[in-house]
Amino acid sequence: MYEYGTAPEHLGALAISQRKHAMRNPRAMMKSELTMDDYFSSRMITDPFRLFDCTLENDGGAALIITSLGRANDLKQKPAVIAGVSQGGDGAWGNQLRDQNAPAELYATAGHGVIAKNLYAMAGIAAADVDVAQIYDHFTGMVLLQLEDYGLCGRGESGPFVTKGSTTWPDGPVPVNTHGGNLSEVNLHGTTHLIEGVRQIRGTSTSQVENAEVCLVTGGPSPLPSSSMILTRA
Amino acid sequence: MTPTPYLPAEMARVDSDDTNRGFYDACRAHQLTIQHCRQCGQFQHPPRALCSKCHSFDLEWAPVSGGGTVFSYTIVHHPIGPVADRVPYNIVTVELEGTGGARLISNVIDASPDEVEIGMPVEVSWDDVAGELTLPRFVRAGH
Repeated sequence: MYEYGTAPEHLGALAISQRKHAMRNPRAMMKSELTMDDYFSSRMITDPFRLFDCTLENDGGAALIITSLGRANDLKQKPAVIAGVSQGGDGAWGNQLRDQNAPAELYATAGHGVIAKNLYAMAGIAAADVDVAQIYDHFTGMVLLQLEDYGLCGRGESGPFVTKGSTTWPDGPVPVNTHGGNLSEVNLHGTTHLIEGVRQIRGTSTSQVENAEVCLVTGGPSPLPSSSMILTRA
Repeated sequence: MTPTPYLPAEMARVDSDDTNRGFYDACRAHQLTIQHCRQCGQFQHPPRALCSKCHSFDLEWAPVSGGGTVFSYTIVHHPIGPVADRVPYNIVTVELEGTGGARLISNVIDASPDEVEIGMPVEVSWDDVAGELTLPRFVRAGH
């Protein structure tokens, strides 16, 4: 926020965007409309994060079945292909969330730069090919930083990118957290991000991106290593 | 006015161990020391078993001035546990002078929430918390 002028309104815009997606999702915990007034009226937790910048806390269960494409093709449900995975992180970012000691050039990042690079290389795609993204959202700010690390917008540009609706279904070019995410659907530690990624590829999301072929799913930027995935159609 | 001490003694604390004992022992003597690598010259904090840059075990405790600037900060408003009656309080990351950019997480105990800002010069102020625990906190330089 100090370096790029990212503002509370930008964080609020992301929370509101994800709530819009949650309102369409019958599984979501948070189904009432969230306005910018609601956002700014909510209590401050730790500046700049207000209540609606922070993840829900839930109990619950989720599961995925991972098998060979040959077997998956024989099953009733349309498969999503794991086209790329990457685990790691920008080493010196390290324990940034705890120790606040990342070098200056990595300080205002999510530490996912090398994960993004390796992930796109393995999947044989570029950031511009991503149709929809499920981005781990313990806090709004960490989503904004990941949008930049994964090249979905330029460095320092995530605030205006979100505010102009780029991450909001149906008109945004890269709808983000189309299930509502940890902020508004449920917090099951990223498993529902994977499941929503599969839904988008199958065409069964409640906020379905038309002709979605490539879905990015990221893991949380907490102490590294973290990991992320690209899902595509078979 | 800011309460004294800034945060209560009942807060969760870090137990000293073989890796950080030198730091806490020096704190008890009101001397701020930062781990320094004799091989590559890096200063690092919090203390680790080896240098995060060159992986050498050849580390020493280097005294530093205790002066620095606020690199980043937050203001905590969420009232929880033993700090419930202390909100809003600040948590700052201080970039310590003479260390090539090593940072220490602490508090500026004489600044109200709207007075804390990035780049603010600060200097160490010792808080003899309880028992054998002394922590480095900070005050505004020149105030």
